[in-house]
Amino acid sequence: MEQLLTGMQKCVIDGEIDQIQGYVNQALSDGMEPSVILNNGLIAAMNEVGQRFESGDFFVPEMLIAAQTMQTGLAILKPLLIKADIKTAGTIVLGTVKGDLHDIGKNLVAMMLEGAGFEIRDLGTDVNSEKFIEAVRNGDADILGMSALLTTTMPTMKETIDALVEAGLRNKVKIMIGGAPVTEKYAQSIGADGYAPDASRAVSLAKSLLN
Amino acid sequence: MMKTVNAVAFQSPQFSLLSDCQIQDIHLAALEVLRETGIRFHHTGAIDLLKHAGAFISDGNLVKFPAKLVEQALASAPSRIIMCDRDGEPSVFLEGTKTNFGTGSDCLNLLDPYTHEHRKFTREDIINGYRLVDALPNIHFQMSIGIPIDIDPKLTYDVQMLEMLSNSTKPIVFVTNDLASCQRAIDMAAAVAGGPEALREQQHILLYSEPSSPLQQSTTAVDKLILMAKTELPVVHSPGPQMGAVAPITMAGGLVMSLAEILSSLVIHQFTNPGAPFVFGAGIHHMDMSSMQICYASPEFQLTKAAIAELGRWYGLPTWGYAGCSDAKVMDEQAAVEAMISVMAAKLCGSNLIHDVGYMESGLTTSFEMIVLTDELVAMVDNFIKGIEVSPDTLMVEELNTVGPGGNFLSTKATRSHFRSYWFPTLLDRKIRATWLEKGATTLGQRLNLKVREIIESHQPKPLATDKVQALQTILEKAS
Repeated sequence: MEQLLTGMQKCVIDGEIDQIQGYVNQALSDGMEPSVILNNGLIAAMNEVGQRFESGDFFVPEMLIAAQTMQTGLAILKPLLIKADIKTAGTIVLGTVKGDLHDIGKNLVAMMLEGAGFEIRDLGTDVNSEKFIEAVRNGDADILGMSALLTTTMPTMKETIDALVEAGLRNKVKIMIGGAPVTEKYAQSIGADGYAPDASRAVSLAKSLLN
Repeated sequence: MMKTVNAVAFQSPQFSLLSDCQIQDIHLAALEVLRETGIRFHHTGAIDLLKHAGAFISDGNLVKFPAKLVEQALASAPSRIIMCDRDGEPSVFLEGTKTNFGTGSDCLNLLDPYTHEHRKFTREDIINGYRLVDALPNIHFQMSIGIPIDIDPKLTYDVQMLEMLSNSTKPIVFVTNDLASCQRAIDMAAAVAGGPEALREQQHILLYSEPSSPLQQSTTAVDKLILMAKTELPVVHSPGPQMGAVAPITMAGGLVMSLAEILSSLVIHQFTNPGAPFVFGAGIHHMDMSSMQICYASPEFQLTKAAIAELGRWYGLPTWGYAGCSDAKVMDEQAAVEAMISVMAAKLCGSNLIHDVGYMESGLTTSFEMIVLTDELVAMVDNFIKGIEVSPDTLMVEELNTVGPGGNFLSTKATRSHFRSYWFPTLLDRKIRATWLEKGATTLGQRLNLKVREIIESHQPKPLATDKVQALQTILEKAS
């Protein structure tokens, strides 16, 4: 069993996307619990990937292909996890703010968060504050994540937070923001709960916000 | 699949300075100086040899050269020299446009990496310098770096050679003060290589010597030149004149004079032993007429060194060059700027044996940080010189069709397999500000200093076998 999990982790870390379903199916037919496969196989591997990225041994393309491999494995487990009513690490609503079509950074964050076991609701790009509010009001989001690349669209983050306060929904979610022009200081000044400078640290931030 | 005609997959950045006609004009002008005025040789043996070969002797020791002697010498000198490391593995290829970088020799002062004080060298300092060279991947050969003041001055060159052989496996370009010390240096290298025959095969050491500009050759320099020819170990007999002081003020004039001096050395060398290995070189500086200092980092110095590289290749000889030098007094922004232009020019002109890495202040002072910076700059410029590969594999038409508008290329297989071909710096910083702050918010200068100290404190060069250490010690004791 241990050997199978080690092989599965290595498969994710090396980004062997064509082989991951073989490992997951093998584990299931050996009788391993889906939650064990998820936590001790796939998520454990992504933790290692995140560490390697932060220490400079891994680069973004390697991290991404590992995340995609993880998700390919997860696709088999998902229906089983739902059936067994196993909770994810949390639900995160993500979007690039109004007026901004840049999504590569947000997608990167989404993949890494998914890799860490979070459930992602991606609202896409050019998302206005009404759509963010609607997603928070009607869903079970634990965290709202906003992204902006342009300095001209950054103010929409503040507008959205202000609108959430007005709608009485601010205490329902934690808010994290990111993007090239965004800083820790800006996050504090607009009343967000956290800021992460890169995708890997967005994962640590999301975990710490829900603890 | 697209069809291409006369496809060139790699075309690296191009640089060319002199036209064929200009090169020929410089060559013919040097031959005219050699015929009309000649070179004064303070060496009786050389005069006899040259007279016998067909040169004209007047005024006791003035030697005038007919063109045929020069052209005979050029014809017999080899086009390539392969220098091996201490283990006999080929490591420094002197041919074509292949570039190799190394330190300078005999600086009087060091910028202390711990106290930042400007002070004289000790034996421990030169050992640290050789270990630094040993550790850095883009520094390919070593020169003596400094003159230590805590040893017997008569043994300066012996101690330098002993410590270079003991503290790094990289090939050595050495300097000595007279014939006897040159012979001892050869004996030491031979003891390490496994005998004179093995040393001749491995070409682990190369002598640097100089004519005495303008248009003179000293006794000791010619003594050493003849010794190197006889032993068939390589030599660079390189003029180092200052234009406006001991050379004409124009760059073309500086080149003509240096060429006359180099070619007269080559005649002596090749008529002593045809086919012995010879490196073509000159460091043609100008005198800064406000400070009366030699400029090591001027744009004009980059031009004369490029001209020497092109002339050398025109003759089919390995070439000598300069880089990683500055006229600054400390490792500051000036030093970094001047290091960069020198490395860029050296790589573009393709000199084979590029030395004086670490020189500051007209060659009076060495900075270890400058050597570490140059190591990084060589890697950076290597990745500029590599050019752009244009081939079906790199045009990525399929990839573009697959990803399409609005997609991204971050997670494709092609990205994963190609992204590492981009250069990743080791000392230049590209981190996001938050990470940079987290890692101590250091400047490049601080990181250079840290790397110098890390290498000094932790690098362990491959030890020299005990019997060889003993053999070197015996040669040193006999000399004292």
